[in-house]
Amino acid sequence: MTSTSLHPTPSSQTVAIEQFRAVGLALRKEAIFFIGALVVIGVLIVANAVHFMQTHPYANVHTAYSMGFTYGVAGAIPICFLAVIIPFGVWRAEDPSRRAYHWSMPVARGPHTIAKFLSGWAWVMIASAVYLLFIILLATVLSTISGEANTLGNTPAWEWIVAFTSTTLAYFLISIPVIASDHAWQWIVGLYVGYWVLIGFLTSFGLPEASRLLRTIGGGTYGLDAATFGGGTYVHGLSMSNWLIAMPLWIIGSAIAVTVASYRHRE
Amino acid sequence: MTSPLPTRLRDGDLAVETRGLTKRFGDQVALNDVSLQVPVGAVYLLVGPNGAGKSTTLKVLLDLMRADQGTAEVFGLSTRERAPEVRANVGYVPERPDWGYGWMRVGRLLEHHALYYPTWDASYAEKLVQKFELRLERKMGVLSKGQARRVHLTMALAHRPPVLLLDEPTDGLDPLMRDETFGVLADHLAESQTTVVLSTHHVEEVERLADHIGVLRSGELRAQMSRADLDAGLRRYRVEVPDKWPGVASLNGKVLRRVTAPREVQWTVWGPETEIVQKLSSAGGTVREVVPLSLLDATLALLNPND
Repeated sequence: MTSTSLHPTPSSQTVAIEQFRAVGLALRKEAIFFIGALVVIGVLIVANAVHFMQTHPYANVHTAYSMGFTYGVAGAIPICFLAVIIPFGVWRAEDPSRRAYHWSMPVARGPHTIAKFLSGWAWVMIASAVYLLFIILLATVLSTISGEANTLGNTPAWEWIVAFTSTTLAYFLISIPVIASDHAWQWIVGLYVGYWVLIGFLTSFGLPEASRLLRTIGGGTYGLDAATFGGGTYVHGLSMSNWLIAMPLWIIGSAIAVTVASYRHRE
Repeated sequence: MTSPLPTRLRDGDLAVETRGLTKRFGDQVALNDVSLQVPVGAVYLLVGPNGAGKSTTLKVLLDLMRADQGTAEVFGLSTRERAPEVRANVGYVPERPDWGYGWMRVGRLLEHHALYYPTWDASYAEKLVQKFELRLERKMGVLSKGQARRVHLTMALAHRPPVLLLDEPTDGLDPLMRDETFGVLADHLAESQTTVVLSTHHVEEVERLADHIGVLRSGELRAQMSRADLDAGLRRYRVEVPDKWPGVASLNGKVLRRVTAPREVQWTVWGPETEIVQKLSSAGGTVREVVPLSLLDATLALLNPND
């Protein structure tokens, strides 16, 4: 032991802010793609609506297109796809075998990994909010063009919240293999294919009950479908009550898995 | 009676200390009971052939790897229990060139790194950027190995850490830049109280810097000593011998190398010079020359696998 004065570690706040900024930078390509897609889709829809109203001055844009510009849980599907690819951007070129730089920083490895993961989640939430604002803006513009009343107010509040919870769940679930493994895609595809192959085998070998039980993981009352969008193979229509139970269960479960993956000492 | 190579230093304040570090990768033993002692303020040269365990040792010191047995401490802080504090006090240049974020620009990476080290010296970092001719707008992923190395050195030095762990810091640099880098390192040591653990294949270039040496081979610490002890204890003896000379039974020292030529034998021996000369003379040899070894020659002798 000596009297050498030792250097301090950085504050948690500094680390959290810097991780948020750095992850934002890492997600620049995804952000450009996302904003670009919204702009292109928005411009096409509006241009089409303007053109339609010019050629059919007495029509109403909603019924004519059968677009019925109402918003529901299915509207969150596109943003969920974005949430699925974001973990790969957050950990760009940093699969566990190449994560030594992140781990060499003067911060405990587990919390540091969680900080980065949460930064990615914060950006997912921002993207979800931007997406909903885009929907509201688009509905307002279309309503102005067509002269029809804006019907977005009819959407139940929980279906708006689904845009945030479904993306949260998608981001959390995909983050588990991305944080834990060098072969995240193989795990995701393998688990998905394996799930359906197993169901197929069980059905073929005369075990329909076992097959049905397995299907409930995805489509049961509290399965992944219910947790994501409030629906499910064995659920008729949307159910807010199922969603209210399934969603937190799945999010908490995936958060625990992410924490375990983050705290595992990899070399 | 032979003098074994020393593997323990005399008592003193230690900046880095490991005790009985053992690390296995499957059947392969990367470190076997390694007890490193790096005094405060030392420039400790860790030498060994590829795969000797040098990089593994440095990674254990940062808790990037965990030993199966044994402990490691930096300034008395356990590298396992208090890893963040240890890392706050260490500047590390790793062996691998893809350190940092390949998608980030050099300037942004330095900014990122600086935020993690409250003691980051921005004006010194700026000086290093100029000295190493870093182009801040370039992305890390497109840099050559040598350019990346210079960025890594800036990251390691600019927060003026009490300990530097440098794993082949000049790998990939041209001779001019290697010279410049060791010059920067020498200036850094003159300005800051720093302990350095340095692993390099360019031993001749740290001749003036290194004041301690540790020799790793096949995961074992073969020798560990100060330069003063090395210079005092290791000698090359050039001895003229008669025809059909029967040799010498024992030299009272550890023979590291023996080169035979017609009527001449050269020994590189660790041990007391006077006694070794006496043994050689009494065996019929004429000692023509006794010379201390350069650091490079000493390293080669200590690493000689045939002893």
